[in-house]
Amino acid sequence: MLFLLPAILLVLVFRIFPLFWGFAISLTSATSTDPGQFIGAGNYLRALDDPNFRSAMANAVAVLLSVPIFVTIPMLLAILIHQGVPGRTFFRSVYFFPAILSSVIIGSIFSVVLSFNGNLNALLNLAGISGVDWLGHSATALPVTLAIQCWSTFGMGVLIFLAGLSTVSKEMVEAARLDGAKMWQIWWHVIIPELRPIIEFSTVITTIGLLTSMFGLIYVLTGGGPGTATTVPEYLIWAAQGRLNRPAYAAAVSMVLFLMTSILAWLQIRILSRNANI
Amino acid sequence: MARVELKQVSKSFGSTDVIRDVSLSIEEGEFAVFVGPSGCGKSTLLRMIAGLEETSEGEIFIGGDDVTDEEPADRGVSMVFQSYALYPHMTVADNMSFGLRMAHRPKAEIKDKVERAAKILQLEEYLQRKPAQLSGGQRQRVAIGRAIVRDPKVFLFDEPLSNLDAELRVQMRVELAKLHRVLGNTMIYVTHDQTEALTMADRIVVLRSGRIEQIGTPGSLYQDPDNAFVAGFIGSPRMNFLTATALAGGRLAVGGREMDSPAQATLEPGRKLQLGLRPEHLDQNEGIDLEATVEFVEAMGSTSYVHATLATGETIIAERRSSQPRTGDKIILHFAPASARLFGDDGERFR
Amino acid sequence: MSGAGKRQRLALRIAAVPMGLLALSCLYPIFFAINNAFKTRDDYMRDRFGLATQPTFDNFVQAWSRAHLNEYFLNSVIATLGAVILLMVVSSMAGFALASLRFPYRRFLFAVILSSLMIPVQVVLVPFMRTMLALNLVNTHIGLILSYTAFFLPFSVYMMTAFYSGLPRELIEAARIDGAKLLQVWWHVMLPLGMPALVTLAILNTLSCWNDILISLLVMQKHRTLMVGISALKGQYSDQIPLFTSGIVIAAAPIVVLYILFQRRIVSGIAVGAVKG
Repeated sequence: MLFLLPAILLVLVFRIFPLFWGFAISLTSATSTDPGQFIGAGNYLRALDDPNFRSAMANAVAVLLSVPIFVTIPMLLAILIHQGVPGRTFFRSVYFFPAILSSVIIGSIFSVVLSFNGNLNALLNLAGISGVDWLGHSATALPVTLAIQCWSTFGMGVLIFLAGLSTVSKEMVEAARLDGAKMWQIWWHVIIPELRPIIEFSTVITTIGLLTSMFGLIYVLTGGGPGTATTVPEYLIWAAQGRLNRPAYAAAVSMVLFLMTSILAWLQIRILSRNANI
Repeated sequence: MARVELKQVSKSFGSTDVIRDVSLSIEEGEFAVFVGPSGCGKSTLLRMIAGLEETSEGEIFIGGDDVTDEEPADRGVSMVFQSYALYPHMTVADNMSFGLRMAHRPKAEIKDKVERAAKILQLEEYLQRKPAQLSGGQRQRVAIGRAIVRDPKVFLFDEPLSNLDAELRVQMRVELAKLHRVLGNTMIYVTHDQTEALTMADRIVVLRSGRIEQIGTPGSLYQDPDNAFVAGFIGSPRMNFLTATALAGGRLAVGGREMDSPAQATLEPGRKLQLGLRPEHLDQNEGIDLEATVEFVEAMGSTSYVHATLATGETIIAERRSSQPRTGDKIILHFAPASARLFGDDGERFR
Repeated sequence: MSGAGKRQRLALRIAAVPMGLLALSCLYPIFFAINNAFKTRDDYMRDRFGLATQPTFDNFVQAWSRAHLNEYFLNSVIATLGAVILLMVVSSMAGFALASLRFPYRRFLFAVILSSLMIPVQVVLVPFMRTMLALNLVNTHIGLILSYTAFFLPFSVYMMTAFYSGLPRELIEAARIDGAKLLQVWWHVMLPLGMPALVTLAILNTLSCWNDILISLLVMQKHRTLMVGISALKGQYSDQIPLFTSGIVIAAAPIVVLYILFQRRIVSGIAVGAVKG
C-alpha cells in the first residue's frame, strides 16, 4: 500500500536491515576501514573475557535491580495525588517537569552541583561534613547516576499511573469503604490489584528505558567512569564503536543488548497491541 | 434519473453468503425501500449499488450502464449515511460542495448548486456553521444537501432517520417524501422500520437472509403477502398466527371452531396450517367467533390493543375501537373468514 | 477521592510535606541554572547560593556567539522542525492506511513497524553508521532528519492508527462517493481530522528530537546540535559556571516554553499513549 511505503521504508532501511547487517558484522573482525574476516563467535567469546564487558553487565544487573524502586515511587506518589493530597495539581505539573528536559541538560546541571567543589559539597561543608566526590568515586558514581535518572523520570511514571488510576472505579473504592476497609486495606486489596496492567506496563517501559536511554546522562556526567564504574552496555557499545575503534566487537555487544531488550519490547508490543485493537 | 437493475447479484464475505442471487429492477423516479430485520443484507445490497462493497457475482446497471466494476464516484449515485458522515472540520457549505470541488467544477456552479440545495432544505442560515453546531435534524438535512448538490441519478439512503428522536423522525419522513416529489429522482432507502417503509415507499423490497422475500407496493404487501414472514414483518402490531388443521371439503379447524378456508387451494385433510389474522380484523360484530381471556390491555387513546389467551392456550392481539375490556374479562373476538390469510406450516401462502 | 475519612485526610496532609520537598527539588536545577546564568564569574565565586543581585546578560551573549551556540541552535531547529513535520506526514499516512484501508498483510506490516521498537539505535549503532555513510547522509541535516523520523516513527504510527480506527468508516466512504481519490481523502479529510492527535505527536516528537544526544552525536560530527554543543561546552568552560549555565538555559528554554504552553496536551498525550482505553 502506497500510504504505508514511507513508514515501512524508513523502518526497514534504518532499523530492521541494520539489525541483520549488525549481526553479520558481529561475526567478523571488521574495523572502521577494513571489512575484516569471518571469525564466527570470536567477538562474543572475547567479550566473556573482557573486563569492560563484564563490568558493563554487572552494572546492567545493578541497574535492573533498581527497577522496583523506579516503579514503586511513582505509583505511591500517583495514588497519593489521586487520593487528594493537598496541592496535588501543583505536584502533578511540577513532577513532570524534569521528565521533559534533555538528559544532557539534567546531566550538565548535576555535574556542576555534584562536582567535588560543587554546591552539594559546599552545603555539606557548611554543616561540618566533609564532601564526597560523588561522581568521581567508583562506589558512589553508579548509585548517584541512577538516583538522578530516577529523579528525572519519576514524573513520567506518576503520569502513567495517574492515567491508570482514572480508570479505577470510584464506586468500587466507596463500596470497600462501606465494607469497613481502612485506607491501607483499600490500597492493598482494591487499588493496587486494579493497577496491575499499569504496573506491568510501567515495569516494561522503565526497564527498557534504563537499558537504552541512560546514554545521555552517563555521557555528560561520568563518561562511563571512573574506570568502568558507570559503563553500561549501551555506553560500552558507543565506546567500542568510536573511541576504541572496534566496530565488530561493538556489534557483538549490541546483539547481547538486543537480546535483553527484545524480550522486554516483545512484552511491550503485546501490551500496546492489546490496547490498539486493530 | 435512472433505472436501477440488479441481475442475479450475490455477495459473500469469505464463506458466508450475505446476498444470494438477488434480481430486481427499480424504475426511473421510483422510491424503493429495502426493509428487513437486522442482518438481512439490506444495507449490504445498498452498499453494493453504491460501489462501497464489491459484487461477488452478477451485474448492476444504473441508467442502462453496467456499473458493476465502477468506482463509487463514477456511478452517478449519492448516499446519505446513518451517522450522516459529515466532515466535522468543514462548514456546512464546504461539506455540501466537497464532491463538486473534488470534480474541479467552476466556482460559480458550485456556489449556485449549494445555494439551491440549501434553499430546498432551509439551510441557508447555517451555511457557514460547522456540523457540531447543528442539531440532529439539521445535520441530517446537510447530509441530504450534500447528496443533492451532486445531481445524482440515484439517491441512496442507509437508515438515515434512525439517529433522530421519534418526533423528528416522523417530520423528516414527510420531508423526504416531499423532496422525492420535488426532485423526482430514483431513490433507494434502507430501513429496518416497517412503518417507514409503508409510509414512504412506492415499492417495498422485503429481504431476509440475503434473499428477496417479496417485492410490491405497500398495499399489496399488507393485503396480499406472499408468505408468513412478510405477513408478520409488515404491519404493527404483528399479524396473529393461529395453528389450524385442514378438514375435508375446504374447511378448517382453528381455535376450537370450524370455518371455510379463505384459500382456493385444495388441501389434504389433516394438514397442519397457520391462519393469519391482523389485529384490526378481530374487531367485527359477526363472523367466526373466538372466545378469549384478556391478559393485558394496551390503551393507545382512540384504539386499544387487547392481549388475550384463547381456549387453546394460544395468545392473540386484537384491536378494539369502541369498548375497552379489562384484565380477566372473557371476550368474544369475531372475524370475517375472507380477512384471514392462510399459510402452510413452512410459511408458504395459500391463496 | 471525595468524602475521605478524617484520619485519611490527616495522613494525606502529612504526606504532602515530603511531596512538597520533592516538588521543590524538581524546580531547583532549573532555578540553579537560571540564577547562575545571570551572575558574573566573580559573583559566583563569592556567593554561589545567593540570588543574582546585579543580573548580567553577558554570559548569554558570550555563549550565543563565542561558544557558537547560535550555530548549534540553528542546527537543532532545522533537524527538529524537519523531523517533526516528516513524522506527522509519514505517521498520518501510515495510520490512515493501517486503520482505514483493507489490503493484504495489513496486520503483518503493523507488526513490522511496531516491532522496530525492539531496535533502539544502540542495538544497530555500527550498521546504522555504515548505512548513513553508504547513503552519504553523515553530517547532513537531511540525514539527521531521516534518522530521527526512523527512530521516533513507531510510536507515532501506533498513535495515529489508534486515533484513526476510532473514526467512523462512513466518513471515508462518503468522501469516496463524493469522488475523492485516496490521496484526496487523506489530504482533505484524514489529515485535518487527525490534527488533535498530530499536534500532540508534534509536541512529543519535538521533545524527543530536541533532547536527543546519541543520534546527533553519531550523525552530526561536524555540525553540532545544541545538545552535543552543550556537552562539549561542559568540558571547555568547567571553570566558568555562569557561562556554562547560560548555555544550559538557552538549550532548555524552547522546551520549557513548550511545556508551559502545552502542558495539558503533553500530559494527556503521554497518558493516552500509555494506557489507551
